[in-house]
Amino acid sequence: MRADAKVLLERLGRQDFAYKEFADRFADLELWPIFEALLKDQRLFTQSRADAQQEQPAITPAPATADLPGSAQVAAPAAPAPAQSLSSMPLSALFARYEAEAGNRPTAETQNDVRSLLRQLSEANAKGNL
Amino acid sequence: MAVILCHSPKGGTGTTFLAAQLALAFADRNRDVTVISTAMNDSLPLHLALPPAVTLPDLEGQAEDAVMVQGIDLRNCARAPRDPDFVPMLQDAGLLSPASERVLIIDVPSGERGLAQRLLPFASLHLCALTPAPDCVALLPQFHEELGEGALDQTLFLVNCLDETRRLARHTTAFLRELFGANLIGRVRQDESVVEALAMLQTLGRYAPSSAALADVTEIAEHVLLRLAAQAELAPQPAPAQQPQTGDIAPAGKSRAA
Ligand SMILES: Nc1ncnc2c1ncn2[C@@H]1O[C@H](COP(=O)(O)OP(=O)(O)OP(=O)(O)O)[C@@H](O)[C@H]1O
Ligand SMILES: [Mg+2]
Repeated sequence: MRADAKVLLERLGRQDFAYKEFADRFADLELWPIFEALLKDQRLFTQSRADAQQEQPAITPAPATADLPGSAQVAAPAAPAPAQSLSSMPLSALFARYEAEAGNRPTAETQNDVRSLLRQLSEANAKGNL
Repeated sequence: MAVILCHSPKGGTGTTFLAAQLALAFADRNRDVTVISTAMNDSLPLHLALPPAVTLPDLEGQAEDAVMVQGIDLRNCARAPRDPDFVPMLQDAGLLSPASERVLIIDVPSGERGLAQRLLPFASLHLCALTPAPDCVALLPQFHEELGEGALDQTLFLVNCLDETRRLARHTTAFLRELFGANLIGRVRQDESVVEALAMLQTLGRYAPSSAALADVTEIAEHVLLRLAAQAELAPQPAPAQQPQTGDIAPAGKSRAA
């Protein structure tokens, strides 16, 4: 933390402070290979594996994306609702959320593009939603 | 009232810290709380400001041996992972009964996946602390597979030891948020006062009442209470007074029956 920020916080008597200086650098959010590997791991996506077994491609066109919940804001407890669990969420839906949130209609092409996920994340950040 | 299983795929992610802080937050809100640590090398007492000389009594210990901190009943059952009678014993003690007013928090070390599996059907919630680091998230697929189909329905995740000045930690947190959606319920910032409080033999709330980690973990405790209240409302249960104290005890994870 920069010295001037530290002094200011001390004067305000506050230690509880999410330091904002780094927030804008979310813009260069990257898809680290480990994330990509996890997204492809069938053990994490039981349901999409089940889908695949039903003669569908592993990444299927999204169902009605409007029905999907938005992503949760970390540390902002919302009213408790039965959460949509990972195991009940097809992989395609996971990706479709970003597309829907950015106001784009998903196309088969963008859904299959894992990198679009990250692009949407950085756009969300630019808007201050992360 | 509720059984909360604290268990993570990785050691050292803050499972015991979380169990202790939840217990303190619940006790602060006038709940009756029992915490059972199932760890052989138990750091739970330290997280509750007890000196190293204190060892926790066994689950079946005598009442006069009880160790209470701020009204929290603290127990150790290091044999639990190898004891097939552990779950029946909890049942006999009435601790798993939906009629129980007590919140039971069970700290299961990361290595004891089998015990976590056995407890899951009885847990109202499974809380899983993750650190935003590759060696932690890399264990998630195996974790998911071992806990079994549907296990994640009851699982709430949180990111612990988050340092927002670190790029990889931020990216990993964002990734986990997208992966788990509303089941990622919050983050606890990395905060030196957590370990300083241990060294001071004080609870975090006493040592650093305005610390970032305490504020974060308090939010998480409140979120967990909201979830439990919502679950209790949804559950078609007879009024507690009509519920027999012993007898049939159904697993809490009703949705897992399918
Ligand atoms: N938010 C935090 N900031 C700083 N230190 C923390 C934080 N959370 C936990 N710690 C510290 O990290 C260490 C590991 O935490 P803890 O003992 O709770 O982990 P654990 O997951 O229970 O580990 P194990 O698997 O060995 O039982 C402890 O010293 C604890 O005080
Ligand atoms: Mg521990």
